[in-house]
Amino acid sequence: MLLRLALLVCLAAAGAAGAAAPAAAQDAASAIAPVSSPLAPVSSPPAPAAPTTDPPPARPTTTLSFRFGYYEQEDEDGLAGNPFLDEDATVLEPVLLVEQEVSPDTSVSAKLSHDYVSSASIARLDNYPSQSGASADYYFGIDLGARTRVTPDFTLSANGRYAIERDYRSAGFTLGLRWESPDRNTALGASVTGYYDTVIKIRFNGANDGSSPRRTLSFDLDAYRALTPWLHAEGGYTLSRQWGFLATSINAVVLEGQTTRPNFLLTNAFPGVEIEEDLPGLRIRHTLWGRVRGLLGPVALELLLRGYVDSWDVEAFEVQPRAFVWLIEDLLRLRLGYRFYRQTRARYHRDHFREERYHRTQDPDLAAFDSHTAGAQLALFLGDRLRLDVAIDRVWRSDDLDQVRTSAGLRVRF
Amino acid sequence: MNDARAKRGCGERAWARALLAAGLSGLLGGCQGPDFTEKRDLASPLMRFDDDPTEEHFRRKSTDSREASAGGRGSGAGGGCGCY
Repeated sequence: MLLRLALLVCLAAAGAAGAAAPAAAQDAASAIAPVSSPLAPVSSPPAPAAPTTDPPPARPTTTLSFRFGYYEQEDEDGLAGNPFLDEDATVLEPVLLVEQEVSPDTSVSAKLSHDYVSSASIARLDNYPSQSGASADYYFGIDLGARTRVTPDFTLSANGRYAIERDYRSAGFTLGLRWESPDRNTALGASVTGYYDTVIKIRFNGANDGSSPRRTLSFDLDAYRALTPWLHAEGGYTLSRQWGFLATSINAVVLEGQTTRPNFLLTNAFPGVEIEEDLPGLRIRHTLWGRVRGLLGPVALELLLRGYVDSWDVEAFEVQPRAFVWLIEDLLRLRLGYRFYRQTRARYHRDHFREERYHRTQDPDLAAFDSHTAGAQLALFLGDRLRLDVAIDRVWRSDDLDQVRTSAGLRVRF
Repeated sequence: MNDARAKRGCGERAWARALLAAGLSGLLGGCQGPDFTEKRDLASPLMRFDDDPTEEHFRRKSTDSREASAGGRGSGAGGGCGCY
């Protein structure tokens, strides 16, 4: 046991073997179970030691997943994060995903999601006649996908998506190719993702400055590797290039020392002058991650590491250990997790501005901070066709913008 | 000053090179991997990576919109405002 644990930690600390996109891992896991199709998108029962007879004829399955999420960010006195603004926010998010096998080698999917966002930063727009009634934001998104195994070892996938928000439109695609070794112990994947977004520039003072484009192109390489009968790993590298209007249009920067008149739109009526946030029109991001999970007796332990750098001088690091255990064998699973996250500030971020800078932001999400997240999930497995779960995460941030995430999910295959 | 900054940048990014090298060596190393008959544990629901895509969707949206480091784990940045 100790030897296994030591090996697990060493592998994870070293960045752990290969890397694989979640889809790759999901497929790899499915491929080792005796399901009707290697593309089966839902958890399958453990594989028998070895097939002794031919499997029954494949029957196309439909998998339906639904989740309702609740997210809350707390800024009780308006001084957390950006000290000039109240950043309370609440998000309600239902998500519906339908996955359909159309043949043993091909599946299609449709995902619908909606966000209802109630936040102080949006509600303050109601002070301006041009945005009267602005008390909430909404998001509607649809993602349609297809996946097909073109040869025994290669799978092609394609997704198209569109989303609409009060001040945002987004059209995107992903094309992916994945290779699995004949023994299914190794998978390598590559994908390209593009977004063609339009930002409707509704400003902090209610002004509408028209729209501007925001483009994103990402390349993703990933891999999966089964290392031993009880240990496997995945990881990857993502390069993203974004260009166009990259500021958050509603964000403002508060200039201090410019006036003595109280500004009643700021926390404690601080006497500041608000001007628009301004950020460069290009951002290049690099992300490297890896995780390893091992079964140690009745408990599965996972360690995830992730590092990030970008051209705005943001550097971030994340470590996330998790444990999975059956409370009732094959029926009730408990997941416990912890996440430490640290990021440095973007070059253009300041807590205080006494003069106007060409590129400027006071967005707390571009500031330096640490966060600690503790979470748990209970999942109920009723056979291999129905799964119910509830999850909660509590986030403590060093800038006091603490958060709570809870969700309940249902996944059924028929 | 620029030299010092560049030097510091190299040091700060050394972890990324080390992580990449360790990952590649682990992946491509001599480990042969288990036989089909040995994979019962890997197929357990305790061992599935990302076994519910809707939870991953929710987690990703709520963290990507509140942190500066979007991307990775099969996704890049972009596709939403998250401006609230």
